[in-house]
Amino acid sequence: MATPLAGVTVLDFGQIFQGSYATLLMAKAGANVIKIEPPGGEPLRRRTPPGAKGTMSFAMLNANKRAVTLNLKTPRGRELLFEMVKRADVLLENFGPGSMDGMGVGWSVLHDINPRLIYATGTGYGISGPDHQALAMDLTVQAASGIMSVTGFPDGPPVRAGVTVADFMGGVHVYGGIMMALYERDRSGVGRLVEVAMQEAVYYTLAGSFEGLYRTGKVPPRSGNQSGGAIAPYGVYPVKDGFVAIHTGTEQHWHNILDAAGRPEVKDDPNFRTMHDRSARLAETNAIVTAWTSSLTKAEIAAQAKQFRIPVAPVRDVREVMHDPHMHSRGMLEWVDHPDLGRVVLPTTPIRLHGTDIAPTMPSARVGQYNDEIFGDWLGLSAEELADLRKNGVI
Amino acid sequence: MSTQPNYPLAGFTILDLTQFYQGPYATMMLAKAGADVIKIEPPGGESLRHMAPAGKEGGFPVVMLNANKRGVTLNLKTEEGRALLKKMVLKADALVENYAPGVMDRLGVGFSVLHEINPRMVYASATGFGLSGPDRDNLAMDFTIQAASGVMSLTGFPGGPPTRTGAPYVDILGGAHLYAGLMTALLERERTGIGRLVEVAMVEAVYSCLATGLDQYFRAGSKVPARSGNAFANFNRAPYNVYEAKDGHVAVILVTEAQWQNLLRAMGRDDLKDDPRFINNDARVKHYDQTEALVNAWTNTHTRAEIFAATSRFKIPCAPVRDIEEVMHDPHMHQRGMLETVEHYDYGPVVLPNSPLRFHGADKVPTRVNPHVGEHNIPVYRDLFGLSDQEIERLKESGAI
Repeated sequence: MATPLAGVTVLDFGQIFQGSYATLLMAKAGANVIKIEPPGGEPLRRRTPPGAKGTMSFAMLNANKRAVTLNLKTPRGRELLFEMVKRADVLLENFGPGSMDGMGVGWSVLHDINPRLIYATGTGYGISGPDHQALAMDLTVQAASGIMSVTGFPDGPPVRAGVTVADFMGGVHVYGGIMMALYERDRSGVGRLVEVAMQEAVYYTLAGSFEGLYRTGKVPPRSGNQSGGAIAPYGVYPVKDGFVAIHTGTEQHWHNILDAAGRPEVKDDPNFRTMHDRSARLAETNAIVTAWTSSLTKAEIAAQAKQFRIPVAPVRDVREVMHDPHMHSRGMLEWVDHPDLGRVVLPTTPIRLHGTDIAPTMPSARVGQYNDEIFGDWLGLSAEELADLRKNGVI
Repeated sequence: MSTQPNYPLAGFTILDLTQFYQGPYATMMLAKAGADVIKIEPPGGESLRHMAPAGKEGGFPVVMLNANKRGVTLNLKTEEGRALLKKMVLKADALVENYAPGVMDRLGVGFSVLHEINPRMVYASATGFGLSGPDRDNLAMDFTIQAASGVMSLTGFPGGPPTRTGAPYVDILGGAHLYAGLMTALLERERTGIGRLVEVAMVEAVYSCLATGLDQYFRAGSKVPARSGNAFANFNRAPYNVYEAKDGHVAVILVTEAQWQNLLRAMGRDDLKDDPRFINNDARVKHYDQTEALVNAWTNTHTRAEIFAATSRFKIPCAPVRDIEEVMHDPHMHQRGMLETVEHYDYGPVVLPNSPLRFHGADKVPTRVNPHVGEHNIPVYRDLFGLSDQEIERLKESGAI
């Protein structure tokens, strides 16, 4: 096995999505990730519905990690953390700003114990500035960051992206920041405090909207599924069994649509020649496209997209995506026997380094499953000491 | 010149063949960390420049995504252009591109060729569907990937169509993964001496964002969740929504029962603290409309600022829905240095972002606005790669640069 992060030890205080995603990417790259939870388990575990043994999201985000419990509110718990810090390369947390400091285990304390340790923190608004204490969830960051204001239809309310954008955007930035800090440490010998705020991680997604603001001097209205600028055809079009999304990037794409639609004569029609012409006759342009799409199924459109080179994709639901033959054939998705969930589809990592291996999937661990291995084998505590720690609620 | 600035990626040379959003975002972060990013454009400029408003060299996305890069021109469709790229590869640490799969190979400058020339160079590729698999050659844009990846199916209202997220986050998310993968490869190169081919596909980068949707799918016994507008999937949590204020909207989300009690206090409805209809999330979901009406009655009669002040005081997760102008002028991000006002040759004073990655103890790279097309041909080709003035002149005449 040649994994890129072999030999890197990570203390993972990640919880819910943001932090856990960053450490998942590290685990898949071969790092030794030790997930440290309070004795009751991290908050995401508590979303398990009654009668179920776990959730899909927890299984997705915590594969390839070893889980231990540790109560940082006890002095002995903090001592054990210090022992682990001496042996670790990276510590990651996504608690509210100041939480670790409040427990006496913040960056400055840990940096003194191990100056080579990289300490990474993921928060909603950052660890400085007037809003740093504002409570942050994906939904509220979508609101505060402007994403929601540009999503939805002109006559409707602002709309959230229906998936978790800000958390994962933050998580991948934290991971990237840790890689840079590890690289720099190879030269400087010193570990950095790496910081990412979700609100800042999503800022660049507004680039096109700012363009509208600079062009007109006004905040552009929401444009639903229409392009904010002059691109046509652009939108979500009906098919027999759902919808497809089309984004015409070039004039050649328009010609290809017309070939697929059996309307090649329109290529020479001056009313539809350029993006500008078609935007000016949007209803007529869309009628040509809809006449083509609505006579076909998603699968038929997908086949024509390949044949005629058209930027169109079916709007797929989660079940279709989970069973996507393309991602299964590439190894991004795989079937795994999970001890709590049964046979399920799990993702690996979207980051591929050709010539290196991806760690084979190890299902997410139960709360404290690796306590003996980590505290006993790694830190060298005896069986009696472990029993004591359990009895006293330290682990 | 007495002291070297303290940048994480000082001394690092990147050949940046990227275009549009995804690739340029990755190389922007490298530039902001102190790498020498050489943006290589065809002589007419990259594709995104062609969407510029009249009289400008690029639209605002070009300006945002290409700060701190040096710009050169190079025509890879000429023999001389390709020869020059190979010469540059000898001195580069990484090359980044987001052309469609196979484009660089067809030009004769794909990974396998360049890897022979400089085995230490990392080659990073970002695409929509990846470099392999049955959908490899499907045309990919942020919009179509939002459709194919499932995220659009979960966005919008029940009864309404699937809805695009107006901010192209899939492009930026792909770019962030590309940056992260490139850094992983550099780190690995320190040990192995070998530069890898790094690959990121947008459709894969966005998969984890479906986590909650997949939870609901399994919870419902393999049933696809319906779109739920601004509410939680399957309307399983309350309050969790965007509520109308006097002057706009606010997002409110409760995660603990203590927050519900606090919200009642904030709303002046402490009388309901023991009401069985609202006593816990299950009860509130059962009385969904009544719960929503309670919150709306409060938000409708207050401004966003009043609501945010009250929720802050009572520790309730809430945020005003801000428009992009408010975000651009956010005092918080300006104070933190994420946003700054910069003088730009096309736009005058503009607000530009820095990198969202912060390395405490490292210096901030001073912002330099995005280059004109070919602005740094001389310093790069002559000073960095050792071409003579005559050679550069000849390449210009032959259309190679």
